[in-house]
Amino acid sequence: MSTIPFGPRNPPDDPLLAKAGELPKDVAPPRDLWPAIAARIAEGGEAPKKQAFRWPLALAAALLVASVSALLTWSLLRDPQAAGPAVIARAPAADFVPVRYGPNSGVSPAELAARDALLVQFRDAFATLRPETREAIQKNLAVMQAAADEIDAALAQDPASGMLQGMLAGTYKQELNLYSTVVTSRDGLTRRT
Amino acid sequence: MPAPQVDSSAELVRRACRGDMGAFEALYREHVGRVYGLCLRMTGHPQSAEDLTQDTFVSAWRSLPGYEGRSSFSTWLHRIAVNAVLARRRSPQGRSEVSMTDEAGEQMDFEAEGRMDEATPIDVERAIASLPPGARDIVVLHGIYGYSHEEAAGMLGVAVGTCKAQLHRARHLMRAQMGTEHAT
Amino acid sequence: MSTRNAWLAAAIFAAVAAPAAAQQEITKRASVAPDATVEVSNVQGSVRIAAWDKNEVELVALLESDRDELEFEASLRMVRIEVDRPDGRYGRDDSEARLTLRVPQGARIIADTVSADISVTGVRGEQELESVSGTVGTQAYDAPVNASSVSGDVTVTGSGGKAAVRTDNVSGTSTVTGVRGSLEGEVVSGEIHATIAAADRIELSSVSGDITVNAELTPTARVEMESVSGVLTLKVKPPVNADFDIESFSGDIESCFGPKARSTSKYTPGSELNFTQGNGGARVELQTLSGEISICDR
Repeated sequence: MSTIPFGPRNPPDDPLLAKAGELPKDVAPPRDLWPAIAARIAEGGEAPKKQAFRWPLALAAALLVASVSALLTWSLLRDPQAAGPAVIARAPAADFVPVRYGPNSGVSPAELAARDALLVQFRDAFATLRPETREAIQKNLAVMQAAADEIDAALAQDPASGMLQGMLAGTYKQELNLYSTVVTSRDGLTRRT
Repeated sequence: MPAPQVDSSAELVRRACRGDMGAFEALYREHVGRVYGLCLRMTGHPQSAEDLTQDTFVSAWRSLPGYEGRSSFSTWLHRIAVNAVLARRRSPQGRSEVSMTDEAGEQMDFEAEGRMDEATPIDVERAIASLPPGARDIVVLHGIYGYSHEEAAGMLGVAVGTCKAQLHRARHLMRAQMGTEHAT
Repeated sequence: MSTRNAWLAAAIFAAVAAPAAAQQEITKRASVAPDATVEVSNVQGSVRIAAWDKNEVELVALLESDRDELEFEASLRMVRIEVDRPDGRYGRDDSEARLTLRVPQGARIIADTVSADISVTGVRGEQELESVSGTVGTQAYDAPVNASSVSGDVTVTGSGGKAAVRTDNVSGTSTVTGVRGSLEGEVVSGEIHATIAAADRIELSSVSGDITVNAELTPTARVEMESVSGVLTLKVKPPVNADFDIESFSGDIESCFGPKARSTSKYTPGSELNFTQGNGGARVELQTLSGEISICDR
């Protein structure tokens, strides 16, 4: 049972968050770090680096990609039965095609593998949807594919463009959002054992 | 014990700002537990957490003139720490550190200054450590350290709605997967 | 009867389908705190939630199929309602579960469906409403609202209160009106139509869907709209005091109020337009790959 405590002052109803609040806030490092810190300060230290993302969307995309895909991979590692022998090489029982990202897009193999883990769950859920919903999803995956292609072509001309990279990250995030929305909504169908 | 008068944080900050390393060391001693605790739980790697804790205090020293006292010193340090954690995650070194097998629940020993007399604090730490980074960040900042959603979103540089939606989704997924691990 | 989470202090009611009747009607009531959380999960059919002035949650559930099971779990702070079909398969079976709820005005709502439509009226607490193919309709007051669908249309109608609204969609259209405060949303091919007063944050993105926003900006508003190939249209209520940073890789940029004062603006095809209107202060960033961008103050 879980819910998200919305207001900052409301007591959390979520058991995990409630227990988290009881954890010790202070954790002593295994050794005294002060000498190293003092030494670095004395010798001039390093300037703090700040990564400036042009678009909050890009960072949110990175976080969501990492969180959703890692979560699904984590859950599959806990329960290998769920995955089946070859995560990526599953026969295309459901007729949809995940987005293919072009060579300039910078989507890493690790990210794609993690997405494939999410796709395992999505395939099952997809099969239970109504035909018109499946069709809508297929159409939108095609829209995302067209966008990914367009962005990839643009990136070929302007590989350093933060705007384009952000858009690509946004498209990828949309793709994952789509899969995870369908998977999580289907949660209602899953009997907890 | 005839201890010398302990300066308040504000006084220590003022002195540290003027270059008083002794005052800054006192601030370090006072706050290192909270900074290390945050870094450790956000990264799940004790060695990274040590490095990041050092980075945080070194950064803080350099940025002291910019601390205006609008938030508590502890919160200010945490902001620096979160930036450091996120920057490291995006670095090539950081990306190679986030491995899936770690998140599958590798056992981690947490030595806490405080008492750990609750029933299953280790289980909770492990559950948090096994969350994916996005959701873990929010559970750490909001759940453990009590920052509001808005504050946590600000520190993480994401829109508040993204935070909540993401956490809700991750929890939803976890609930389906974890099943009745915590149900009786 | 299944066992429950030990951390919840809950009075548990689990309704099991009566085997004899094909259709089931089940009524449940629970006393709750005025700001209790009500979590509803349904697959097909509908979820209708309306506020009343009692500190109670009342559920009237009409289940067309006797294979559906209704779970109802209630404590003072949380009510959880779920319609489940044990074999998990809804594809061939069109039978619906219609859930009608009355909840306290200050309740927090989390509703989740696959194809069931969700509608919420009069609820002033926070809401998270999500469907795959169902429509989602709600009213926003002063609390955050998150209304999303994959292919269903989403409608959020404000009452003029200051709300943080989030809407996500894939191919459905999200329409947000009468809201003050902030709006975030992402769509793929669906459209976003929004009218926001006293907007302090607008963050919208689409892949190919058009985004049309009518906004009155606060002095420190931040507006960020992005699309790959969709059209971005922004009407800002005068007087306009904002810095504009507009960029399109290959789309046209149109503005009905020209650049003024200090900032120089560049107009090249595939093109950039940076300028300050009025005293600046608010910040507007619009980006597309190939979609058109158009801004106006009337």
